[in-house]
Amino acid sequence: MRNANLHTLPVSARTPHSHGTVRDVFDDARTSSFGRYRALTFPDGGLILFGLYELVTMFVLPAPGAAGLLLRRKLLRPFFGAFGRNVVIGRNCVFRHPRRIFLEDGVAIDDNCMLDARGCGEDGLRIGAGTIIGRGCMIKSKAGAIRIGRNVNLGGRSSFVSHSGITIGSDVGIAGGCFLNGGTFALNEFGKPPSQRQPYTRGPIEVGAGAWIATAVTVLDGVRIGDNAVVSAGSVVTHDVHPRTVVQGNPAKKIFEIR
Amino acid sequence: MDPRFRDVLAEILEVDGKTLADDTRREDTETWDSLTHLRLITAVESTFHVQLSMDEIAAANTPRALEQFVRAHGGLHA
Repeated sequence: MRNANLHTLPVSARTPHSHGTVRDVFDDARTSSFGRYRALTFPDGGLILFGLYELVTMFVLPAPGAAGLLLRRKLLRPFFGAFGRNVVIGRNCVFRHPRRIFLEDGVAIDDNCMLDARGCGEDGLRIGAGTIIGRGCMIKSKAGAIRIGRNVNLGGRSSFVSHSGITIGSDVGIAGGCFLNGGTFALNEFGKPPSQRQPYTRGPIEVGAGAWIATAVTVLDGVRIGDNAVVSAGSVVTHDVHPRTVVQGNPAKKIFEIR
Repeated sequence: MDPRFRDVLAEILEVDGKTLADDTRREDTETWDSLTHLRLITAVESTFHVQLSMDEIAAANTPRALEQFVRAHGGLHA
């Protein structure tokens, strides 16, 4: 099994880019409320840039209509790691650590999405050209880089939480209401309440190029889904899926091989 | 319809084999959804030692059509 030597390590021990958990930040008595807010939203840059980002957050991110789209296209660029041409950002999105978010040309992000690159480190949260992020998606990294390929469609209200990386290949379709959330708890932590457990991870979640993940699928920690595979609606994927394989159920089992 | 073929269909579609006619249509059969169709193809292929193409799988929307494809690939003889 891959990353076997990492199994017992807490996430923070393997991921030098991690800023610790949200709980770590909240519990840090030395830091002011302002400092905590900044640490969780826009720490990469000086106070002036942070102040400007606050203005953008207040007046530009919620702005309605075509004017809002245009304002966001013109004004968000300096706050991002990369911001390609013809990027479309809907209303009321939340971008945390935007300097680690890299958007290629033509990326479209619908209203009410949340992108949080806190744990991504230098590798960042990267979204390839022509990819469409549906309304209300949450894409966040507690640790590990997130890479989404080109021409990917993510359906509304899907959730992507990285504990040691999430990679989604090009031309992938992920329908609405899916959960690709990494991380779990080791059995020997079950005696403690969840708030005191250290999360651990078997490894990153990977979705191969051309795969189709139908509505309301859950993909668990450390699962790799092969190129052109199909996961049927409502499935819970607990183990790797081979390329060009159709799986179904909870736990998802192979029912067919595409030829 | 060959009785061996009817048995496989009845088992996968979870229906009484007697209710299946040659021209029973996939869209008129409640249990014959797209995923059940794939499971049916897998079962038919392993039972009768044939392999259909994706085009044939997409076109096999009645027992008659599916049985013809199986026979065309040399299954269900004797």
